[in-house]
Amino acid sequence: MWSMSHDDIEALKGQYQKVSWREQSGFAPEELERRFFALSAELAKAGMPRPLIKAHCFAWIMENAQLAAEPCCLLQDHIRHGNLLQKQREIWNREVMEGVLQPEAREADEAFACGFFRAGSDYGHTAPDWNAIMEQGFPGILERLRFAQEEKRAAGTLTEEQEVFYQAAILVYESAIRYLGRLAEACRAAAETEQAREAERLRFCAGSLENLQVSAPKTLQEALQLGYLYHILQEEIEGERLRSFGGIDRLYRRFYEDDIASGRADASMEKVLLQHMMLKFHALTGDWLFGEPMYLGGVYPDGSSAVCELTYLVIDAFDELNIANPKFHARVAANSPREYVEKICDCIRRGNSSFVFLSDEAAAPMMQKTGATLEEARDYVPIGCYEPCILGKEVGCTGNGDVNLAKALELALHDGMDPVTGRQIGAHTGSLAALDTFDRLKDAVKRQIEFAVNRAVNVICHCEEHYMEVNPSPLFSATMEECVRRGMDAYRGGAKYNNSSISGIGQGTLADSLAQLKKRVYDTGEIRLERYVEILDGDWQGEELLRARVRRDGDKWGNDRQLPDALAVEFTRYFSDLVNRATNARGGRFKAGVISINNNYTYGRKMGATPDGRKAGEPVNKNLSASVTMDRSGLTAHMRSVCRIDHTDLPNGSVLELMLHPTAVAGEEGLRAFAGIVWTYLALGGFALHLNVFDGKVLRAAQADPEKYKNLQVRVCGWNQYFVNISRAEQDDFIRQAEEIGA
Amino acid sequence: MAKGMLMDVKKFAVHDGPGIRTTLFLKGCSLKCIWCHNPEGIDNCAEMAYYAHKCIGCGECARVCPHGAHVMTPEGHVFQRGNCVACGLCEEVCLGEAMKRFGRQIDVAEALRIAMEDQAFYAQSGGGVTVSGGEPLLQADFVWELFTELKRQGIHTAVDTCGNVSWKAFEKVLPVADMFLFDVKHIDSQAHKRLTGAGNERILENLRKLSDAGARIEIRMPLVPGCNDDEETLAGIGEMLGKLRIERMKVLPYHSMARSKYQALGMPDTMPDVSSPTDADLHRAVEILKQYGVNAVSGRE
Repeated sequence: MWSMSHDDIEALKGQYQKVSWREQSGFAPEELERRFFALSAELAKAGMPRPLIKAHCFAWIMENAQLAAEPCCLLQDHIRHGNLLQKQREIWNREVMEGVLQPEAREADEAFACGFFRAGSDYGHTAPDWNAIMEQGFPGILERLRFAQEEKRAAGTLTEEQEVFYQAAILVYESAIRYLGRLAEACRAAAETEQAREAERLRFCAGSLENLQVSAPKTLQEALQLGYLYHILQEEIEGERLRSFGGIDRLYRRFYEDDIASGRADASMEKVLLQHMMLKFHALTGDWLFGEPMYLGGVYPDGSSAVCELTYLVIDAFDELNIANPKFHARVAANSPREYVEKICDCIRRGNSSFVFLSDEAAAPMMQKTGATLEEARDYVPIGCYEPCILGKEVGCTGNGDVNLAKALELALHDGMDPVTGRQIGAHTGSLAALDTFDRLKDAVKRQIEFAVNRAVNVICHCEEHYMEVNPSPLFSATMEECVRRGMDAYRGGAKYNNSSISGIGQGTLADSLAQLKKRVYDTGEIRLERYVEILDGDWQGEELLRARVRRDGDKWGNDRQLPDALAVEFTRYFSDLVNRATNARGGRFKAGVISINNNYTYGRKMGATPDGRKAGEPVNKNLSASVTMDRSGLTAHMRSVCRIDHTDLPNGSVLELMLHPTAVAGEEGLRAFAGIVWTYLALGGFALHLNVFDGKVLRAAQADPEKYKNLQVRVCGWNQYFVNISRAEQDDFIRQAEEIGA
Repeated sequence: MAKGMLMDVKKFAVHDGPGIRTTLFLKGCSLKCIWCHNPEGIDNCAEMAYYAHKCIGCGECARVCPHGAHVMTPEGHVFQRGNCVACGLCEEVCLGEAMKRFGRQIDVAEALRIAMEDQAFYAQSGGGVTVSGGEPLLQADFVWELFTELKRQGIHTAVDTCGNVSWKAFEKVLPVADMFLFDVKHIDSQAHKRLTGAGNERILENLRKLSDAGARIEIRMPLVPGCNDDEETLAGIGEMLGKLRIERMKVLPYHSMARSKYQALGMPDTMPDVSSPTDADLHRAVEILKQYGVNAVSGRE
């Protein structure tokens, strides 16, 4: 039952591909869909409020979809849900976006098409209160809902809206508990016809599911079973992606320690369980772009280190599997053990690169600046790529939008008109003749940034006013204590903190460009501004020598040089101040970040040439990093530059990515130096750091012969990918970087 | 304040002593090893390297050179080394990055400023500053002044030396150097002279004295096939080192990657035409050395 042979692993990897659905357990997919939408229409016709419609629809799927038992796995979940709730939400979303929000939707579409900004709704990018789920189980959450409802009813203060909230959440959790029972039945029935080993596994799972129907989890298997099932409910059935899986070591530690102490399991059995959980994610999403985030280490709310025996077991379990998904946020605090950081660095240098380091030393003051208490600030859960959110208290919405800071310069040089499309998408900030001093130029860029932030905030706020029509979330809200106490949905603003976000992109390209304009136009008068803009509009045609001089100039962001670094700091600060001051429509605030996802490519494609020597269509700089191959002064200078930006002003997260050559981190000394980079980033005030170790020759070989290198992993942004699966342009950038450091 | 002739700086050096380090390469050497992989460190004057294959023929160098060392002809760019005074103006403007200057005078204050830039890295990784070369102890006064300042700031210091300098130079830096990376190339003085241009008597004498003085020593030995990798040589080195207080010995594989530098510097290429030792070769050398109680490790690990 606990074996983990090659065949076991292959079976686990393929568990979602061939499922033996128990046909008698529910409606076939077409019938399910037909009846689902009939029910939804009927309830809407009867005038039922949306949260209740959603809850009824959810419960109906839980009770009527076909199930299957999975003989190869120690965790069960198979339900043939047909993505129906997701489809329903898309219909509701279209109603709003093509109806009342049409002007906002159109504006956002146009801004994005021109590579200026992106703004919209965000229902993923957060995490439920995993502590509540593990401490109370589904029955406990249900109990807490009923208690709160009763209390308000008895006091005579229960409003109609609260009544809807409680009814919806109760319906959802009652049905989730019945789903546990139905799965248990499916397992017991399947066990009758399976081989001994599989039958034993299925009966074991059935017993655990039956326990979870009536109580909170008591063993590691039960806890992982519940955690994974909750994940399926929110991500697969509700269709909300990018909900972080939480802190694996801190959440599951007590179950692990209790299993070991009671003799119920040994460490090798627990490792198998962890691997079954990880392979679930791998099997479920395969090569899906973003991967499932979970985190390790860091500090507890009282400041003590959370790194424990289980932390190391999780790393070992993952390391053995050599898979690209899930992805791990490795929280590091000053009191984290050196061994912990070195162990992860060792995984990364061997190509198991699905880890990113996050500094708790930066996170705490960063979160406190947004109003969190110190204890709350220490209890953050990293969302999506690198976005910290307070566990159980904050609905983060960390992916609402972003602003292309480099585009702001392009617009400032064209009085707000996009030179690529010829459309006036920015503010009128004056003709070139009016930009007769460097300060006036900077001012024009700032006004373009302000314009974009204001427009993005406006779009997002309008979307938020309709969150409850599109995405009421009883399943999620019921985990949050504050939502239950107030009887208010999390997407209505029921959590303690209800925040939104806008990230900045291209601050490096902007700083490098401004530095060149300052030197060549305003300081030396080498070129007139009008001529420079003409050259850019012509994409450097016939001006290759000038372009080469500009590229060769050392005043580039990421080299610890005064001029570009000061500009990057000034403009990042200007942007983050604007965002961090803004309030949203859910009673919360906006949080600024510097995370480019892969929009450095998307936005770059929609831009003309920039004064830093970048040609039209090329990517802008990625995340906090220097433009590709512009970090000529080595990684220590790169890190010093990046840490001149105050990362605590970027509460939606920020990241530096560095690439190292294998020889630089080889051997014991190399490993210590590698870990030394992480510790230094912490000491310099950096927040998130992700590292790739590559030899340019290997990457070239992989590009030429993808089949042979299909397992070569690369940390792309906030997620891991197989190198052979990323775009050619992205591959080329990685190769250029790798060859630079190998030279 | 002493002046130094700086050849190059390497940041994030991880194989020149413990932790993350900055290595300052000082120019000028008292040996001339045929396999030298830093030939730009041999001469003690500034010189320009010209990587002809990188030249894009932009002519920026000819525009700024005050000495006529760069000439643009219809066939393209010609570097006339005879006219070059290694002022480095061309390096700053060279668009193909084909010109690189090795060697410039710096004072201790500037060296200190460069070294202190990465202080946070040293503190977090147990690293520090290494002087290498060339032969840094030919500039012992400069090294002493720099290290004295660094020790005042609590920074770890290391000297990477070929040993072929007067004992006085060692005596000078001993109080401020935390460790020595000491090269051993051959046990037979005749062979040593043939391969490096000098006998090994003074080198081994300095090594013994350094060991007696209680200095922390790590031995570096380049393993060059056909030159010093025979069993007798290795046994002789092992026997000699076995009697000394040596923390560790790294056997470094010879490689010919520096060959292009000889050409770029206009120097005759003396590098042996042999391939790099295999891991098995390194392992064999390590095993021989270990027989004499030397804590030898492969430099490739």
